[in-house]
Parts: sequence; structure tokens; C-alpha cells
Amino acid sequence: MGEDCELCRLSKSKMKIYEDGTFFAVLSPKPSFHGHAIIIPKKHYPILEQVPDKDISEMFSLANKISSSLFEIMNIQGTNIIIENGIAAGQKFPHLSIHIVPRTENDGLNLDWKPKQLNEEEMSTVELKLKEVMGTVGITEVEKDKPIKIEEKVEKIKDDGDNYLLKQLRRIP
Amino acid sequence: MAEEGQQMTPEQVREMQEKLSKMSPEELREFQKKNCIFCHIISGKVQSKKIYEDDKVVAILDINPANPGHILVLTKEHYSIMPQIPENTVKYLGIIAKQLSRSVLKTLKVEGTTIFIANGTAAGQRAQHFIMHIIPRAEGDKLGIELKPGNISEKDQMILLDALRKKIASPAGLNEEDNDRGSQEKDIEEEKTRGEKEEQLIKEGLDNEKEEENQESDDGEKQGQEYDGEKKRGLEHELGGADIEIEKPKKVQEAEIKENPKRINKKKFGKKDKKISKGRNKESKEKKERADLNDIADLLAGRI
Repeated sequence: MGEDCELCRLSKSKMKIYEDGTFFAVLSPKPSFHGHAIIIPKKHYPILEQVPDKDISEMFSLANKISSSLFEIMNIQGTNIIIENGIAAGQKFPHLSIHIVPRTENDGLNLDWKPKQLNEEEMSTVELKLKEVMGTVGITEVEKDKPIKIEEKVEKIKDDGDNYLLKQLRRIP
Repeated sequence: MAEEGQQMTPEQVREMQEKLSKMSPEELREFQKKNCIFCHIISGKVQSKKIYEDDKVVAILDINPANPGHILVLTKEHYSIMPQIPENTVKYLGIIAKQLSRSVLKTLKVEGTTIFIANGTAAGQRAQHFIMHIIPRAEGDKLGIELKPGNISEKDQMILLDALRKKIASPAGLNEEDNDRGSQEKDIEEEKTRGEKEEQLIKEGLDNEKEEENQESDDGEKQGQEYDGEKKRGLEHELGGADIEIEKPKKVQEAEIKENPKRINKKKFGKKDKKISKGRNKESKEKKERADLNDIADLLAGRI
């Protein structure tokens, strides 16, 4: 955390593309390709699941923006947006980061995987298991705008002997 | 993941190219939708293992997964690449990625997930429809999705950095562009249907696109200059509510214009340039479309 984490240290980097209160974007110090950018949340969230919904949506939006900016600025033919979530996924530091990698034909980067063939049973079991937990998906933590309450102030008229309003009402014509 | 299609004969390819050359951009888009296997899956015409669906996205299981539980998240609307997708849907995709990843980790008890998006064939995009992959990972599975570190000279990095910073506005600017999206969306969409065949397009189009950029990023440039000064304001915006965020940047801009009347003149000059450049762009648009249609035909040949 803090000084030990290399990604936290990048918040002081000269190569910052963008910064706001919750996250920042830098050009990678060891880029896989010229233009490799990383978006890092300022808080030390180790994995994707711990990042609040509002922050992750803003980070995705920025990733899209950087991706289209790279298309316009550089002579590239594609971009990859990758999140390595967990050591098994190749995450090098326990701090979430979103990678934006520009691509060209024959650039030497190989991010393809070999597809596997699963039999029908295995596919069905996976499908059922995932469907069971889909009740939690789609509910965002972002609060919708609350309706504005217009409070009508009802002033209670004090029933003093001196109150002129009540006196008027009680006046005998 | 890819469907096995029949290959077309050279004659059929030529016929297809002729057809496509006569189509307008809108007709091309419709044509793409009709031939998009994932649009058929979403509409239910083709069978699939759907695990989640709502009004913006559909999540299905990949038939040829990298690992069991490989999920493909598709946008219900047909978009080819991420820059075409509207802001709100992009934000929603981020939330969905997080929630689906969490579901995968809990139920399948894997050690990690990879969220992977490919924009463009050079990036590994194999289908015409935008797909976000959520791939469960296990230690030592050697899938091959690894980012190897490299070295680029600091000079090159700094040049790119300046260009990027100007493009990407401050927080106030980001919200400003959300508002303007409604009016500019049509222009942006037309631009980016061409953007699907990135190979020729970006090489030829860089000059022309710079002229078009000026239309969109006039505001962005101003705020790029004001970047440092507005950082503090940006923090306030982040903490405030959504409606308040949208209002404040406009007021700030109006105040700036009053203080600096010179800027107004610059705007006017800018508009004149736009008028001239539009004429040029129309010609180049047609050229680009014809040049790229060959690629569309080739891609479709592999699909149909």
C-alpha cells in the first residue's frame, strides 16, 4: 500500500494523461506498444470487485475516450482494453488497473487464446450455475436522482389574545 | 467462437463488392446488421446459451471458450467497436463487467478473471459486433493473454502525451461532451462506420479526420488549456450531484468568454475553416467508402 505499491507511486509520474479525484491515467512506464496507457484508481483497490460502481463506470468511459484518441492521433489499426483481475490473470501488482494497448497488424503482440471444446454436459452445468446468481447482476449502486420534495410550510397561528388575524375572524360584523 | 461459414467464389465476391459500392452508409449499416450472427443471437433467431439479459446488454456463454465459463457480453444495439457506443452504455458495461466477474468468481470458484475488449481486427476482433469477454482464469492456464513490458524512448512518449492530454479534457470537459453528444452523435456515427475498416481508413483518413476533430474538440481544446486551473473545480464536480455537474461547466465557459472577447473571434475563424473543410471531406468520404468496401466484402465472405 502507499509507497510499496508501484502503481500508487505512478500517481507522481510525469506521464499523466488525466487526473481527477478518484482515478488517474498514465502512459505505461514499460509499454507493450507505443501508446500503452493505464488507468489506475487512486484508492488502493486490489481487484475489480471492490471498486465502487460509479468509479468503474467513469474509468471505462475514460478508457473508451483514450482508445478513440489513440485511433485519431496514431497510425494504429486497433486497440485492446484489458483488465487483469487476479494473479492467475496475470495481475502483477495488487492494485486494479485497466490497460489500453494500441495495436497494428503484425506488431508481435499475441493476445489470442486457443479455444477449447467442451461437451454439452459441461456447458450445461456451467450455464445453470451462472444463471442461479444472475439475480445480483444489473442492479447498480449508483443512486438515481431523488425527487425534489417541496415542503409546504403550514404556519400554525398562535392563539394568543393579541393575534390580529384571529381577532378579525372573530369580529362581529 | 467464430461460426464456420462457406467460402465464396471469386465471382461471388466481385458481385458482393459491386452491391456494396452502390450502398449508402445507412444501407451498409442495415446490411451489416442483417448479416451479423450476434444480432441474430440477440433477437433469438439463432440458439445460444443466454445467461443474462436486460435492455442494454446480453450475456451469453462462448461455444468455444478459452476456459469453462467464458462469457461474451454483447450490446443489444449493433455497434462494431467501442468508440461507436454511447457514453451511458459504456459506463453500464463497466458495471456489468464487474458484476459478472464477481458472479463467475463466486460460482465457478476460479482464481481470477480477465476482462478483454478487442477493437479492430488487428486487436483480435473476430466478429463485426462489439464483444466484451469475461474469461475465468486459473493459475498456470497459459492462455496467452499476457502484456509483455517493453521500452519506448521518453521523447516519443512525451510527444504522444501532449497530444493525448489535449484530446482528453478535464472533468468539466468530459461532462460537457456528454451534453453535446446528442447533437453530434449522428456525425460521429457516420464517421465511425467508416472507422470499422481501420487499416486503410486511419492511414488515409488522418489528414481529413484532423479537420473534423476541430469541430468536436473546440471546447475540449479550451479546457485542455485550462486543465491545471480547473483541476480543483473538477474535484467539486465529482463530489456534487449529476445535474449540478452538468450546469457548472457551461457557466464557467460563459464567464471565460466574457472575460476574453478575443476567443470569440477565434471561434468565428474556426467556423469558416469548417465550412471549407466540409466540402473536401465529402469527396474523401466517398473515396474512403469505396476503398473500404473491398475489405467488408472479404470479411463477409468469411462469414456467409
